[in-house]
Amino acid sequence: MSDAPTPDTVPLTLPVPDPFTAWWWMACRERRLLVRSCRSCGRLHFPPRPACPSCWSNDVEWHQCAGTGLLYSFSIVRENDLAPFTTAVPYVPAVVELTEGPRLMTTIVDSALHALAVDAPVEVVFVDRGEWTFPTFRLAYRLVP
Amino acid sequence: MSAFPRRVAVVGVALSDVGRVDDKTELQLHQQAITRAVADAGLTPQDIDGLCSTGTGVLSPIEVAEYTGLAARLRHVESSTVGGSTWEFMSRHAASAIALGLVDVVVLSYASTTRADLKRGARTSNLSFGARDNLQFDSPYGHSLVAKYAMAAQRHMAKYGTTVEQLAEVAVSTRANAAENPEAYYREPITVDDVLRSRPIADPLTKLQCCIRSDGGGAVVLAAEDRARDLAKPPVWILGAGEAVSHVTMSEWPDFTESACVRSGRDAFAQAGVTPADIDVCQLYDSFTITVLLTLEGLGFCPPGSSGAFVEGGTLRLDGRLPTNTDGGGLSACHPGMRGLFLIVEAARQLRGEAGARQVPGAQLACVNGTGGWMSSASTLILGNE
Repeated sequence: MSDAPTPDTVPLTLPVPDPFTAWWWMACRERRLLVRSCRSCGRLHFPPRPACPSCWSNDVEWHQCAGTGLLYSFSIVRENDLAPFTTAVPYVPAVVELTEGPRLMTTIVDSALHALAVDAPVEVVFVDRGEWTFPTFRLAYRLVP
Repeated sequence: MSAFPRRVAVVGVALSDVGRVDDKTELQLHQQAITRAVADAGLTPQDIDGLCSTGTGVLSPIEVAEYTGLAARLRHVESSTVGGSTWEFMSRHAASAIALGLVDVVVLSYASTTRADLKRGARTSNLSFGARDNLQFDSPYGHSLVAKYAMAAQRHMAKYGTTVEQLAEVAVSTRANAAENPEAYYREPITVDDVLRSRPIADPLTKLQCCIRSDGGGAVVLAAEDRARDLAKPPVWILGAGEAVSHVTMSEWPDFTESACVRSGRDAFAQAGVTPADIDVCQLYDSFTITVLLTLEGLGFCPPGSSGAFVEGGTLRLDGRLPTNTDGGGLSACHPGMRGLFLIVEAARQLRGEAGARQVPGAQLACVNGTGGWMSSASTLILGNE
């Protein structure tokens, strides 16, 4: 039975933040997963913008998420000729729908490939790479009474 | 959506050399395709006053205009950047400009040497678009192009019970159509088993569910009714057109089972005053098998969630209920990177009755749907020969 990569082996490449999104990456470094919250219309959004994409208000703040959600979709990649992913297969790109609502793109770690399923509960696993920290996710196993 | 105030037709179509082209550059293929399409229409270079093109290196429509010597006479120039659906968008824009009398004869062109470039290591199959702006939240995780489409397939399977066999049937039917096209890259029949046992790329998509990488180009000539009537070939009318965009960032795609063609198709069908039931032949961008399923549902050829069952039993084959991708599509015939233009060429050939062994008998109405990016854009054309 094969597994998704571990936090040590999961392939990740560096982002190119700007002065605004640098705040989001710094929060990841502190194990905090942020989205944006509009004080005007109440909607949350991600990826983060200074202004709200729903109502265009500038009255928007950072909002810390619980780090839980559902696996909206995923794919087990078996082949990719773009380095460094070429030699890291199989790995599992995924889109997670956070409990708070917004979705984000990520990758799955520490999970059995055969157990992956659309809408399965997942939880964040922050992975450090040099000066960077990435939010990855793993299947959240829950005891059913 | 009201009809175009001046009727506009596809009056010339052509392919450049296609398949394996190791001895020509992209601009040379553009020139070849444009020359052939203008000759197909029975026009001369002096008749051309519009050019739409994208995809080549530097300021792409100008580069093509310069290379073909058309630059000085152009009064309509366009280079949309919405992916493989670009030529359907361009057709709508050009038809609008022609209908308004801003321009009379517009050429759309495309060419790429993707296969040759990959072969000599000049590019990778998966392209890096960098890691800035929203891409900084995407590119770190290796979401390859195939993986993005695979995630749509995965969601569709979970939500509606669509099976891998149903996905594979799209590739099998398309290959059966390619068998009748002498210009198709792959013509050997394949089975559902062949498709499912081919190399896994990004689950659930296997190699034979991914568009091929070929070389080639093509061109299409559009003209107003008053010019179209007395040209070399019978006119193929643009009866309706629509365009829509959705997302670049996958997490911003509201529903992985819904194509933006829901909106572009609604506008195109309304403008043409016809329904999916009236369509004789379809050319639907088949970047991957899932693309065809989402498009069939989005355009209303079958209800949401039912496309898997819809394609079973050979629906998309030349002798099926809805002959689709009659030239063998991007899955088997021709896919140099962006396929939008080839969809229009094949639709026109079907409506002119010049498709040879793959001709759909009596085809009068065609539906063309381009999909760009990773389900990022859609544009629909309704074409007819009356």
